[in-house]
Amino acid sequence: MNAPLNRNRILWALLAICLLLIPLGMSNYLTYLINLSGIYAIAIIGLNILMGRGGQMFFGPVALMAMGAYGAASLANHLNFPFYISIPLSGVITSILSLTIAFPALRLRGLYLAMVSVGYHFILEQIIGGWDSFTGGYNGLNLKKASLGGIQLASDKAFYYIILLAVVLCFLGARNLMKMRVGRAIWALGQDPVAASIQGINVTSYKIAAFMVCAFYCGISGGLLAHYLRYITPYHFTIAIAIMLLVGMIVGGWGSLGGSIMGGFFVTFLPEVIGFFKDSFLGASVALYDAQETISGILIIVVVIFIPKGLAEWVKEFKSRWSYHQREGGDSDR
Amino acid sequence: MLIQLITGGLAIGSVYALIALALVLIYKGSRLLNLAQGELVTIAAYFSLAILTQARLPYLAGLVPAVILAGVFALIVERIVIRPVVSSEEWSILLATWGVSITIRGLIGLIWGHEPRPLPSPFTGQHLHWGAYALSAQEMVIIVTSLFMLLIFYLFFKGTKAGLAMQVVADNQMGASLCGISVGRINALTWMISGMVAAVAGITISPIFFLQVEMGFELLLSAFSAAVLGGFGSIVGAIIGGYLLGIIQAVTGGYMPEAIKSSVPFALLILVLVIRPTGLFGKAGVEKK
Repeated sequence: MNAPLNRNRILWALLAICLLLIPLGMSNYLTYLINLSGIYAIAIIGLNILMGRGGQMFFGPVALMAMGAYGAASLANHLNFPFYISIPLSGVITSILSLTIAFPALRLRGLYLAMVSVGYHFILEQIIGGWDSFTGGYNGLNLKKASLGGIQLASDKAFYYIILLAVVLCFLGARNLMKMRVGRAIWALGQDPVAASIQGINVTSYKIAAFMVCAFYCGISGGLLAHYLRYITPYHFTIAIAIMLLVGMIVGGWGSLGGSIMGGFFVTFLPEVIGFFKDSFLGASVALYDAQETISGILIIVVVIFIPKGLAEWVKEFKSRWSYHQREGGDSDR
Repeated sequence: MLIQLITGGLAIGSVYALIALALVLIYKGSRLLNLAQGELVTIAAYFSLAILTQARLPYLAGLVPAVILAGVFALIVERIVIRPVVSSEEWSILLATWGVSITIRGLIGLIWGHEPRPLPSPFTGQHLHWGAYALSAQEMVIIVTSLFMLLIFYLFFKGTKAGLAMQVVADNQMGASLCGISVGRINALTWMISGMVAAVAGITISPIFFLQVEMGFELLLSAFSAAVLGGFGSIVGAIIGGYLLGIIQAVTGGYMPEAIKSSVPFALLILVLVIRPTGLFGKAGVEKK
């Protein structure tokens, strides 16, 4: 009657229990970092669908995140929407607004799209900075505390569960989407647009679809960020963060959804780890920010040269080796 | 007023032209966009700062060793970072150059700190009087130096064997290596020349804008817009695009709110790519990859 309890299932159950229990034994700061990793992981999943699968060199995910964040903030502040409505809605708003870059992007390829999307990011950053009445400009915008059924959710630990749920839903959604017609079409046009169009795939509409999916994820990520931090400024959405997401995507694995989550953790924890070891290795007089920049730059180069396929591929290799040994052990028992 | 705006535009435009030239050279040589080009400009400016303050050389004499140092630096970057990844996919090369860019920025921050520094130049604040107009001397220095640099580059490109080999490699790598040209060595040379060309831009512009860690990235974006305006992949186009962008930026900045000035390159970039993706001098049908 019951499905056999195979090892995979036990591992997944253990993972789920660990994920649920994690915040209990953690400091608030560590929970904050994990939350941030989760938020970035969602944006990286979106970026991975557009870039990793769709092959579009898009450098503006943070512009989309900003749209989502300010969208969610205004929905919550002006229309009193609860967070569980304003966050998904901000994803929808962002994916509609992303048409402003999706249409120009139809005519561009490769490096051209990359640079135009950088320009897009800067133009949006200036709009956000200048549109004081709506975004609060550089003074920032405050959000009310998120609440669920009258209970205020303000602590890092409460948000941990919200973000965990969002990451799991986004991951599963993306995984299923990639197996559907849309996902396969996006993948095909990323491989070779000409070959894809010969197969009867409408390159134009699926390119737009890829942008909209990416924007949906980035919007959700931005909405979560806004509700979590409860204070957003243009400084939360700089080009440096866009590049950080890109690095996370590549380190995690080009086109790998599981790798996106690893990438989110990598980019959030890397500066912290560098900061942690900086004093003992480089001395206290060295500026933290510069040390972080130098070391992450070198790490990017090392990753590109030595593990071009990303962490996900590493894990896969490790896993296959492990299960191979297991099977071998089983055989010898027989 | 307009004359001053235009000479100012020409000065900043010649800086864009030099950096755009460097970008296009590397693009033609090895089909990659060098995101670290801006930081090569920045570090050259800091080299010249170090040389001018430590060795107490006069400004124009200090320029030469700084340019050579920047060329050697670009050569090292090519050897250590770019050559191992040059045959891999587009995005991974792009990311490698971005890694170089972050590393250089971090190193500059570690060595020289983040506060803006002036690069001492005897021409700062001096003016040349021509009729009723007073033209900034440093701007004239920029324009003259960059024209001189472009002339040297032209002579090298047209008149020497290495320059010819560079053209051949840009045209057809396979054919070049069949003719016995070492493509790897020519690419290294291309990087060195790009580093030196960009260095001239950085060193001459720094007395006007203060030296800052972040200056390179902004220059890179403007230079890229200039290169696209001229038709990415065309050397003449990059230079003319640079001058044009500089003048357009200066004139719009003079008559419109200052805030618009920094958006001009992007607005122009998007406009050009949407209306005429091949730019002014680009060949139609060229694979935009």
